Amino acid sequence: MSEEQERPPVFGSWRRLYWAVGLYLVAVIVLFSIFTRVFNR
Amino acid sequence: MRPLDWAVLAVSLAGIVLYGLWRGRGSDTTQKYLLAGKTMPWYAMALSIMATQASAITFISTTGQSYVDGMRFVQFYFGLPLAMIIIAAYVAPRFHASGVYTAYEYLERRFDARTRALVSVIFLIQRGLAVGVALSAPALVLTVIMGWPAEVTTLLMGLTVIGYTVSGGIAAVTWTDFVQMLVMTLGLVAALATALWLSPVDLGGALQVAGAAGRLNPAVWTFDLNDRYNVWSGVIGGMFLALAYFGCDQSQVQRYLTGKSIAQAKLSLLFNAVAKIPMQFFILFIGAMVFVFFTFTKPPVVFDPGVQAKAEQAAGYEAVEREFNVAWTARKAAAEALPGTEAEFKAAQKAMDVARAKAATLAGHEGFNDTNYIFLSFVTKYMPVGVVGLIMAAIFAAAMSTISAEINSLATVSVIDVYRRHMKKEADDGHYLRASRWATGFWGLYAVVTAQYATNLGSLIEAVNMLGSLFYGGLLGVFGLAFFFPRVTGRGAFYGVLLGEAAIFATRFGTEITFLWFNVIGCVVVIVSGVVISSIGRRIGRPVG
Repeated sequence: MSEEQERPPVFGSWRRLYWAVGLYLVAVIVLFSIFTRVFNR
Repeated sequence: MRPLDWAVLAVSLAGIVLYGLWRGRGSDTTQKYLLAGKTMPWYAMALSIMATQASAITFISTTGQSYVDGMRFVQFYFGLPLAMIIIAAYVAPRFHASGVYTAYEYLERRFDARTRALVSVIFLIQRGLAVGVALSAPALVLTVIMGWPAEVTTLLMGLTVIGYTVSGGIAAVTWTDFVQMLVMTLGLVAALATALWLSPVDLGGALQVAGAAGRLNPAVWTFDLNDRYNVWSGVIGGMFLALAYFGCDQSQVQRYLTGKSIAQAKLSLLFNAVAKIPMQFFILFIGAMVFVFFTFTKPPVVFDPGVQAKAEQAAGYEAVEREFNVAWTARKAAAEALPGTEAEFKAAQKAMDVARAKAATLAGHEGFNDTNYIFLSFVTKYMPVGVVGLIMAAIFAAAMSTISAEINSLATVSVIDVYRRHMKKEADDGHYLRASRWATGFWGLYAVVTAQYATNLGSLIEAVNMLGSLFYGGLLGVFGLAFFFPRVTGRGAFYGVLLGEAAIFATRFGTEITFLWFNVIGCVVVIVSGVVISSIGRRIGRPVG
């Protein structure tokens, strides 16, 4: 297996890992929006 | 600072320096000195990348920014995960596979020598300006705490960093970054725990007070080109800035060029994609909790001790102080009666801000900014013994990790892209190794000298980001051309960068558009003009590149 094809330790492939990070960002923004709405006056 | 604080600070710093010297031993070739022999594991690179970005400014200024403006600054990092995905997928593999020492070396392989030279010079100017700011922040700390002259502090700090960076090269820098990041994390946890512990209200009450003051606003959806921090500028502008910083700035690129494989480099980047936003949220939350603390404990009228002392000497200060005290008492009463007294709380806050501005005006500092002094004032006056030393160690660790990476990368570009490429092309490896050590020492001393001028730039973190934004758009645009536009020529890339920089400076000095958008504008202008110039060159049939 070449260096480029070496698999990440989680999610099985780089493509899926990138998607996971992207979804994580969406989740963070949603959580921060909820946090702002609940606590900020 | 008491003896235990000094002991904690001294042991932490000595430990970091000795560890760096030990880890950097054996850097006896140029490749080992500048790229650690490409042996670094992902976790060392990941924490090194994080430590390099988290400077002393992050501790000192970000917490203060949250105190005065709330947590909305965290949105600045919303684009970072997207940038990291792009860099991990497209940029890091190409840099690694091409076996380059610097990002700019890659540009010559793709375009030509003059494009590489132009971009290298832009990096040297931009990073050379920023390194002084990074070094001046801890000088500010010691000036406030001990009254040491800033010149002495920057010299001591600079010489310490120069010592292990010159000796061990990037291996020493990366492994000290690793330890420094751990010290920083400890310092952050200690700061938040102490701020909460010292506040007379529990976490729920603290959230209520900070929320009433509008300090708990990590997501603001209002779209405004002139507003620095909202979700839109964070995701779009922040992504462009992070792409430029992590993908084109040698101080970061060099971290993941040391990886033992492409996969290890990618993992280090993706770790930052996940960890950076929570870390910034945590730091800003500390600032919000410091605000809560000063809701129940009377703060100084102005946090900058110099401005405060001048104001106290001025005629009319007593009246301003009375005004401030009345407003603070009203704010405290409103906070204790929350919920239901938000309007009173905000009115009292406004009155305090007016009194603070009046005091600063009396001191001759109209339009003052004491953001950088808020956290330090809290730490030195209210933190328990031992914790002060730990937080000081964290601030120093943050400063050292950033400065060491910056002088190391400046030296690398100076030697690889300028000296070896244009001045002495055929020399043995030992010669370039010695040149790299000399260049590291030179840039370290340069940082010490320029730091003297950096202490009057207002909020330091914004000053650094502002400086970066004047040049990053051009850098990002040319790398965008290199990676994604195979038909663009060297001529197109070279003039594209010049036009892009012209557009950024015109935007900066001719409009009110906030700096986060400079990268977007510069990058787009470079790419469009690079493509057009290359296309014109082909159409008129002239040899290009």
